[in-house]
Amino acid sequence: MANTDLAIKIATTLDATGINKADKAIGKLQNTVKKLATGLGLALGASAITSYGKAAVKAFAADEAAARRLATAVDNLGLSFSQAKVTTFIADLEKSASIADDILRPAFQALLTTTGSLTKSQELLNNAIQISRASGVDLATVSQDLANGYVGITRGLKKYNTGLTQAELKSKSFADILGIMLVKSAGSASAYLETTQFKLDALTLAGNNAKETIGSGLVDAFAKIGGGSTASDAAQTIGDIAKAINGITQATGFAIGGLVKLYKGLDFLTTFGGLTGANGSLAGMLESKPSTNRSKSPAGTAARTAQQRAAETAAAARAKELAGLTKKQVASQKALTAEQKRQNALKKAGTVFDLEQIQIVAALKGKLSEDDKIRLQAQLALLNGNADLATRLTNQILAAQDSSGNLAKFLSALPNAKNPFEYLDAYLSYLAGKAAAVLTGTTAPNVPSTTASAAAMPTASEMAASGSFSQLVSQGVGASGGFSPVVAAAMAPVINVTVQGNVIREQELINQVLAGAQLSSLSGSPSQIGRIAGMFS
Amino acid sequence: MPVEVQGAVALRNALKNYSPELAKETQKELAGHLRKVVNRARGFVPSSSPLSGWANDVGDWSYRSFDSGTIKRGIGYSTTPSKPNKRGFRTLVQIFNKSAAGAIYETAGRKNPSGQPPARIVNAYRNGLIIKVRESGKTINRSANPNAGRQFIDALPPLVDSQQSNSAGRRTRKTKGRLMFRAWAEDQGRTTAAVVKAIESANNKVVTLTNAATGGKTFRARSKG
Repeated sequence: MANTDLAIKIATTLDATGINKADKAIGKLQNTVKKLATGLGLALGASAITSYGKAAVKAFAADEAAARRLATAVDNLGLSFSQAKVTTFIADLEKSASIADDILRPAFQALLTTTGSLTKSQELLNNAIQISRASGVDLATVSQDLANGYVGITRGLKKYNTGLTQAELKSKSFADILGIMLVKSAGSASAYLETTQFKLDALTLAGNNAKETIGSGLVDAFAKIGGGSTASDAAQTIGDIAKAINGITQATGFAIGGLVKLYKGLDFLTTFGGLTGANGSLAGMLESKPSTNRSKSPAGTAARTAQQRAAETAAAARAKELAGLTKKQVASQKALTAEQKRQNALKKAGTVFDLEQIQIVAALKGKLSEDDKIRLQAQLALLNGNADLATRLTNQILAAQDSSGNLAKFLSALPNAKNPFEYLDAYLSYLAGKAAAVLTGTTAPNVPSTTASAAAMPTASEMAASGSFSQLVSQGVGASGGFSPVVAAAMAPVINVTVQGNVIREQELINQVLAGAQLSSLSGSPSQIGRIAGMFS
Repeated sequence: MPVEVQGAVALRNALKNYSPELAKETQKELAGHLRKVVNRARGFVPSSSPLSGWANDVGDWSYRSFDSGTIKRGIGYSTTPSKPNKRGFRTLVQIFNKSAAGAIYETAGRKNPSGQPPARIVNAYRNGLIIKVRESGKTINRSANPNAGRQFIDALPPLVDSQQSNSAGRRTRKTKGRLMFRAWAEDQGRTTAAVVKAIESANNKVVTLTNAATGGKTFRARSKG
């Protein structure tokens, strides 16, 4: 017979005997399982059994992977002998805080890899649980924030409402911030243990652990036992079972307690009040063992503690280094702030020697009208960069310029100015004609009339009596629609005009006119000036 | 691609029970056809090692060093039905090459025509550090000579495909070889036909015998295809 795969098979035959036997056996097994399931109130088929196996394996694999990650992290930190301690710590914490190990492990790993210290990580994880309970933020986030805070990245701690400003969070040490957070969250972890939520968490955790161990298929089975198909049915069933077990345990504990009491009573009697017996005081006196002066610690303790000491030393050195860095950072921040202050002071001092400001300040010391004073103050405010004051003063100036609107009315009512030397044309023509008559011997032309058609300009007293600038305007315009040379000459002296409203200076008036002209130009009516024709429109 | 014969096991039992002589005769007839192929395959085994070092019976290679006699003895045939495989098929007739050296001579270069690839330098994660290491494993050339595999294969005759282009079944590298597969390729299906004919002949004979003895019981041993 050829015991090799390297063969050429020439003829084969299908021997179904074995397959038929296997089919028959599987059929029998299925029947048996179905009968068993019926007896238990279950209806597990082959697919249910397969799903059960798959779920169990998956849960176990995930748990194992998480544990291995943490173990590798511990190994890499040189704490390989402390693996057992870490495992025990996680297991104990899972029981006491009712937090699943698959949440605790990554949180602990984050802290351990950051701090490098086993004890510090354990302490911080307990702190993280307390803060998490108080704030409602999940443990993984809190642990990561604490790990970041440990190395000086305190930005994430803002969300815990510490009452500290961003600047304080940056400048304070991690220990100080953590202290504040712990004070604010004190008692929340122990208070949580009293809540119903904690009991529900414990139940969920128990269910999850069971799922990890024997697979989610079992949870399905519990659900079916409970008469449903959902996870809540399963939880109810687990709860019922737990209650039943609790009752049994209590009863058993009571019975065992009674037996212990009975035994203790009998023991007391038979050992003559504890005098005799293996642990009796008499035996202790007679069989005192000499001390071997050897450590009672289990094997590997020395190596573990040595490792742990080395890790703690390294972690302490790192913490010291971080503290130094934080101190330096704060010092440099302070120095920067001081420098900025100094620069501001210098800038302020520099303004004293600013010539423009000096002039304004000097002008302000003189005797000024209220309006000029406001203008200078506004200019000074602009130079100093005081925007609020500058805006306020500018608004005052604008309000004072034309609150009544008379200025605008006056400007709009001004007539077109005519050429004041128009009458010279007649004289020039007359002179030219006379010169021509002298040369040619003809009759000289008549002297042109000098009487203008313009109305006489009112005197200052007349204008004062009229009391209205509009009247002056109407008189000045006259029938010809413009000022005559006589009127213009009459207007040359200084005229005191009393108007209701504000009096503005010449330059301001010019500015207003210019502004009006610009506005008209922008509105589609450009200004035109004809110097020879004496036109302004 | 083997020929599937239906009822061959029942036929064999019937032959043993009703006509032991006929059973022996059939076995001899089958052996006669198979021996031709086996002898032809044995004839392809060289008398000396293609590479002198392979014949050195030392170290790890002692059990697989080249020995012409061992290789020839390792090539044989079987007419005893094998155990059923996982799909329930039993091999009735087969030829094989079972010696280690024979298997090497037969198949070297089938998977890697230029020998196994040399080890490459790859990144590996060790104790928290990523370091450079050489690849290792059964699929990597472990010799100090990076061309060892190619040189070994070059010293051997070329592989011959036993599966012809017009044959039934897939043509894979597993149908190629230098001894048994070469002989089978040269046989061109004659042995297969002879084997099937011998089985059908035996079946007919046993049917005749059983009809006479039991009054009608038949064994239908016939090729499926």
